[in-house]
Amino acid sequence: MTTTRMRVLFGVLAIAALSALAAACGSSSSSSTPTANATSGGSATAGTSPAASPTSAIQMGGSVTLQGLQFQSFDPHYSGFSQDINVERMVWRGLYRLDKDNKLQPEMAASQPTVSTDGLTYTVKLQSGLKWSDGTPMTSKDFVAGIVRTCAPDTAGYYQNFLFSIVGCSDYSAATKATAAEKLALQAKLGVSAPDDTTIVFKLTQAQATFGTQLAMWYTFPVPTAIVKDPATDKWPAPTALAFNGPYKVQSYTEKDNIVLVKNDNYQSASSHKAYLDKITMKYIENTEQADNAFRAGQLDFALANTAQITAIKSDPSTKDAYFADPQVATTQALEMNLKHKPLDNLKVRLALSQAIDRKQLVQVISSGVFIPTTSWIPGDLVGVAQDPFESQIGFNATAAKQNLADAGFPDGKGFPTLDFMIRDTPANKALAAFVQNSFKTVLNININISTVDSKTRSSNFSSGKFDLLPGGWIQDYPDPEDWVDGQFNTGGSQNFWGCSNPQIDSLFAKAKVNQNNTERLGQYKQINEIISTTMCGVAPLWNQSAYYLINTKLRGMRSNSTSQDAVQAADWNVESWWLAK
Amino acid sequence: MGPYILRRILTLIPLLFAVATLTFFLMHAVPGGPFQGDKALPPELLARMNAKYGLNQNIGVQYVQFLEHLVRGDLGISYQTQNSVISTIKQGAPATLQLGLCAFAFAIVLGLVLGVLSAVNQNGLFDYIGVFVATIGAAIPSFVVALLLILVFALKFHWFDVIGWTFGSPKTMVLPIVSLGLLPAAYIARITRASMLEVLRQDYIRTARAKGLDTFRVVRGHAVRNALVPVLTVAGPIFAGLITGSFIIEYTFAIPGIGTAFVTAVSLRDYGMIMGTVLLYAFAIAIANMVVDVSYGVVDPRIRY
Repeated sequence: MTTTRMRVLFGVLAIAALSALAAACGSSSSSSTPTANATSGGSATAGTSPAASPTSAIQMGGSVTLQGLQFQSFDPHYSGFSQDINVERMVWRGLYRLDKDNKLQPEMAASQPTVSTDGLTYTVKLQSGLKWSDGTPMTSKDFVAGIVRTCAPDTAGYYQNFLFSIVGCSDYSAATKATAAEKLALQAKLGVSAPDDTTIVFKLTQAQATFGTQLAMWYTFPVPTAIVKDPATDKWPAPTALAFNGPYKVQSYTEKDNIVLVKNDNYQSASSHKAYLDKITMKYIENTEQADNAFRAGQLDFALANTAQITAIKSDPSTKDAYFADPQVATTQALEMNLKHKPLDNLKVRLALSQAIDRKQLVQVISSGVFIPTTSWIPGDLVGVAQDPFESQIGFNATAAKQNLADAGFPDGKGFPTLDFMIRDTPANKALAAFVQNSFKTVLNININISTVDSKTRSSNFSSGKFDLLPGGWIQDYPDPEDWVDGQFNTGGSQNFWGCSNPQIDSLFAKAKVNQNNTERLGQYKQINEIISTTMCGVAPLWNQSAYYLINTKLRGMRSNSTSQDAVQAADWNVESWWLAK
Repeated sequence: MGPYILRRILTLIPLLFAVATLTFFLMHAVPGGPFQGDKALPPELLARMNAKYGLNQNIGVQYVQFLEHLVRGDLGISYQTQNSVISTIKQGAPATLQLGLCAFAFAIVLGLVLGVLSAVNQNGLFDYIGVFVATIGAAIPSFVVALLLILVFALKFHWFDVIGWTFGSPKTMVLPIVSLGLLPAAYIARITRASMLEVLRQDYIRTARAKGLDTFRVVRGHAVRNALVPVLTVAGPIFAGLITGSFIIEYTFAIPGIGTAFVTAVSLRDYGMIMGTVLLYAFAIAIANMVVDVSYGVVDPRIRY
């Protein structure tokens, strides 16, 4: 998942702005509905936003304005960008949802799925009486249409391959040159069906422990088939022409300017409640610096905090109480290496490079210490390991680094080729590159060449193997270690661009992918993570990223999920639980 | 003048064709494509998405198809928004045009007033003030001006909004207009001052003064109009520059114009949007230059076409 954004921040503001901010935010709220206590499910009182107060009574109504980013697509079956998915989650929901502990909870479904003993068939019962926001009944056929649209060759989206465990999805998606009749035939063979209006049956090619989680993801959301007649070919309508089944519905939309959402009274969740806020306006602001200023001026109730100015934000009286750090954002940044290029195929060389980087000092330099140093590829909480578990093996150790380089045949760096370090043209990347270049020179006496390119050139070079070293990493799609391994570290994996090939990883992954015993499965991923991290099989982990926000102290109920979407928009999985204190 | 204008309009066709062709091959020569993000897609999926939009075809075939669509007025879709490029431009163009026109008007008025006052009071207080403002305006980049104005007038005094654009609302319009218009205003002031000083030394000005006309009448009736020709010469490019160069101000104030769309289109390899905005900008610049050339004849009767 990718975000398109440019961020720089400046400035501080007088203490008086805080009261002005509160007043302005208060005036933006149309909170006229009497106070109500939350009695339904949800977790509104368990918010983790800065002002969340477990003892506060939840108040209904009101409106808020958030910083947003212009979505690329409003079609959840196509979307691959965080800014798309954030707003889509506010207006659509799937069969299931993930709670704050990432446990599967029924959303449009009535209960947990029934799984056959061989793990190949999932049967889901819908709640009765479900309706779209326009009043049209929502049936199992709408959910089948959602799967069809994601798998369809003519509506190819970014996450199509995540559904390839469904029978026929891979073949159907690949039929780009087939005739209409052939496509229809392949569509009919898809392993998803609706035997009646409230039952959906999924057939899988192989058991997949995380298939239930997929049913909470945006690419399995239903299609309003009364509007989108043919999900496999129809163009996705404009936001204001659609129907919704999430806590909010679209009231208005102005491209590149804003989208306004209002409460959807037809939202019916099996595990949550109707939205507390009446209205949410997302104002599209690319410039985080300005978004933070708009927050200070009271024009916004929520903005991304500029990481370059975190220290100033934390000490600024106008923002320090509104500042919220979310350490759960599951993003690992690493030094990526092309194992197909010599001498990076040599484990001793990779070890030397990894041990030459002082991660603690690095995060100080590039983030004033707010990022968290790590030596684990998969975030520790997903596989039950500590934050920095392999520090003694691959962490900073100048003496060991020199020795390993010498053992690899390059004593004191002699004869070591000048490797290329490809970075994107951002201040953070430049600071990182300078730090790494200096570390390699100081510790190993080797030189690297820094080449600066734009984001698209970097991606193109990366996926075609035209790189030696680059800073990169992984942003989690769904909270499971499978997402951190599948396709990336198995031999021949479609996103294994660094050339990692390890029989142990392959063997363990083949077992973990289909293992229905969760404890055993997580143990297998724990082993895989150790092999990836300690052999630096394409990646030498450096740090885990965090997300930082400015949140109006009156806006409550936000909580974090350990998902990548939080990197752009906090708590979008829980938007129905946001509320404004009077 | 009619045939001249017609001739100028007809030359637009080969000009826009050349711009389109050059842009097409340049943007396709840059590595990367619209569907490549920081997180790499599986190659087969990337190929499928490229195929969906015909980006897997030979560049020559793509060019021919592009021309066929262009002739029909179809610039394709924006990969950023999945909407047609034309509709995206239609959506953003009003804000960009409003901002550009207002900034142009601001620059002309401020520049002329400062320039004339400076020239009439050469080496006097007004002259020093005018030169000072013109120098400051020319020395500080627009985004710095914008940030300073925001700090003082939006965050400190709360007179204006930090972000947004609502046509007709001074609360949202003043800061972007001043930020964008200050630099050209300074430039116009310098040109006007120099031109006025030259005109004020002419014999016919001395004659007018000798006839007993007061300074105001001399300046208004005889000096300003004659001093306008050099200003007109720069006004065309300034106008085009304001319309096409507003992206930093749009980005700073979160104004939903096409300036920001153009910049992000380049970085996102949004080919349709790049082409659409480049053609629009080329058209705007050509028209602005034509208007300037025609207006010479209006200001100076000696010029004939």
